[in-house]
Amino acid sequence: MSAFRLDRDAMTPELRRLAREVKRPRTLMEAGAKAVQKEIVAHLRRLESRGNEMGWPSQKFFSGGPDSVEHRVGIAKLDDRGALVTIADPRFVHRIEGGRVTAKRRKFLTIPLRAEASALAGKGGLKESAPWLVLRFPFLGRISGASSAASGRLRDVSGKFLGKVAPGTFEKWFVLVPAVTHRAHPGEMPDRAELGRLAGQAMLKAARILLRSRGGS
Amino acid sequence: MARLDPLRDAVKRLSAKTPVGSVLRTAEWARVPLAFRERAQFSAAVESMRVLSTIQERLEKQTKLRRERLASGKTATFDRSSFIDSIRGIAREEGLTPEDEALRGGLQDITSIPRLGLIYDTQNRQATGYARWKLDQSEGALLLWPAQEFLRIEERRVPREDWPGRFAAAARDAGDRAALAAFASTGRMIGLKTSGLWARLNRFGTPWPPFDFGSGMGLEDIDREEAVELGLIGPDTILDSGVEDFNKDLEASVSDLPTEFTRVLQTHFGSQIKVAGGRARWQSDQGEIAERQRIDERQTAGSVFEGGRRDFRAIRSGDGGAAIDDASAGTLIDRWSVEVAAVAAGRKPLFHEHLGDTAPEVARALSQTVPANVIVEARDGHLWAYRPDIISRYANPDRPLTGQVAAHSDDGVWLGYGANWPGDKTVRVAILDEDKNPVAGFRAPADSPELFAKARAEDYAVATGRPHSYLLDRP
Repeated sequence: MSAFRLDRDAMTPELRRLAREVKRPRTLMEAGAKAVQKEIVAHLRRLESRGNEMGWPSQKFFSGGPDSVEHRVGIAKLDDRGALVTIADPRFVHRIEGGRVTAKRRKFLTIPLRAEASALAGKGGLKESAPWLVLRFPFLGRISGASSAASGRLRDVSGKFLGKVAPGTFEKWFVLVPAVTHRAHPGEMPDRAELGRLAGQAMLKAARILLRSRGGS
Repeated sequence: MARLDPLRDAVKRLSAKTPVGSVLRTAEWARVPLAFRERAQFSAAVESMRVLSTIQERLEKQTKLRRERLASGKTATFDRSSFIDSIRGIAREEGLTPEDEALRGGLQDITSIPRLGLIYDTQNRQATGYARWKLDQSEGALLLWPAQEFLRIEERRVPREDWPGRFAAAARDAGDRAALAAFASTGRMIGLKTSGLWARLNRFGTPWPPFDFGSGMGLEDIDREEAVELGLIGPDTILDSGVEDFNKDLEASVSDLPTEFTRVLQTHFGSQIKVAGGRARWQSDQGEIAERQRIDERQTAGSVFEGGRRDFRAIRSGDGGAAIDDASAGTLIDRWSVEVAAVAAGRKPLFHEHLGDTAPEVARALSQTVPANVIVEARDGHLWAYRPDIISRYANPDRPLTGQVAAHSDDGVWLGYGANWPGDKTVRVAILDEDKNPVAGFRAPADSPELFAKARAEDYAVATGRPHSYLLDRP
């Protein structure tokens, strides 16, 4: 699912012929695997460049941050017969497949309702990064004070809120929920056909360089 | 969820690490050979094996894409926030929150979110960076993308601005004229992937990212055509992988180590490090033993220090030959007590001082204070304290120990400073108390003064129970 396999048996006849000639099938697999790794990283960067879907500051999920998915793209297996390039990140698989996330280590998940709240993510515990947040009790119905996209998404949720008390108002920053369901994003998977095409191209090019360097055809 | 395949080389790299506890800070760890750093799971000034083993275990399991079993019986994936929560809880239980409130919450606080986040990010980036490097060093990848460009790939609030200078210095140091020429003509920081410049550019000494703590700089592939255009390779050049050269450098960094250097490593790491025939390696089963030894060491040093302060009080300013005035007696007594305590704890090979007529009296008193394995001798106004099991590592086994100790009374190596001055290339070191007042000074080897300075500053910390630091006076 989150890995791309290069298989010697699936090579084009031309590539097979060149592979036999250069007698270094592993080298060709390496070239193909590198091309796949590069394209997956480029794909993740394109996804990141779309920006946050709520218009909030980017969490650098796909790329551009120290814990981005792009760092976890590489070789799971490589030998003469094939290569397996993996996106070794369960968060990415969850993003593609979607599904329900339940709070397991804590009682609740904290879902940001506004850009400032989203920006606090990854800055450590909220108790320390935003000690002024206060808890408000169950609430039913439409959430006011949140961005319209966020309130629409969470319209049917009843839960507790963390927010900021201002004179006469309570600004809702987070809703606390025991679980949330994420939708699937199958369209964010890299295009396997394109990866295969690029891998084949790279392997052909590598074979030709090897042959040229030893004065072959 | 679909089956996930881990990054093979990231797993290999993390699995090869041994948790190693020590008081060394970042600048001191930088003086430890690269092969040791590569194979150690360490964090600056963290001695707790429980903390280090948990860091190792969580990072390793995360990289292997295992799931964590929670107390509730449910399972969950490992991630950054659970790493921080888990290590933070253990570090707090271990009492590692700094006493100094000014340090709390900052990078010197192992219970702080910024510090734990930095550990998580750096370790993961090093593991995944290594995996990428291994792929990039393969023949197939080098054929098509033989070079790389060093550039900003992540934004930072306060980006470092000295990278071009560091790049040029690293290329010069590696003798990489092609990279220097490309830099001069294009202003871009580009070099062959097999160049020695990358390891020199990196503060951690590895040719793969990250290149510094919290750095947003990274590497982008440069293809064959551009590398040829930049004059880095010829059209038909086929590069050999740099893995073998790097591994050779790694091995060289722990082979034929100077004796004094291995001794100071042993002072810092105790039984966690094994030295045989000029080669040193970590001992993975010794972490907890070394931790217990350090606790014993502190107890011994603390009680000998208190006893020593009482025993040295026998010295009076009028004592012939001692030449000590009342004003300096207090400082000297503390210093000597620390040094004898360090000898008793096995941290320092030899204590020697000329005390004049009082030497026999002080020796008698000190003999009652120190543990039975410490010899205290007085002769001709001189006083020596040493542990035969430690000092015999320095002595000629075919000759009597006593005579050799007297002959090496002022030998900087025997006294634990690592060098003799004048003679050896040295750097002056001042040991500072917690108010930054100098309390002692000596000269340490110029190539690794931090390790010797830290060892002696730690003698003070261990004996007095108060933090001490050091200052190097580099020419």
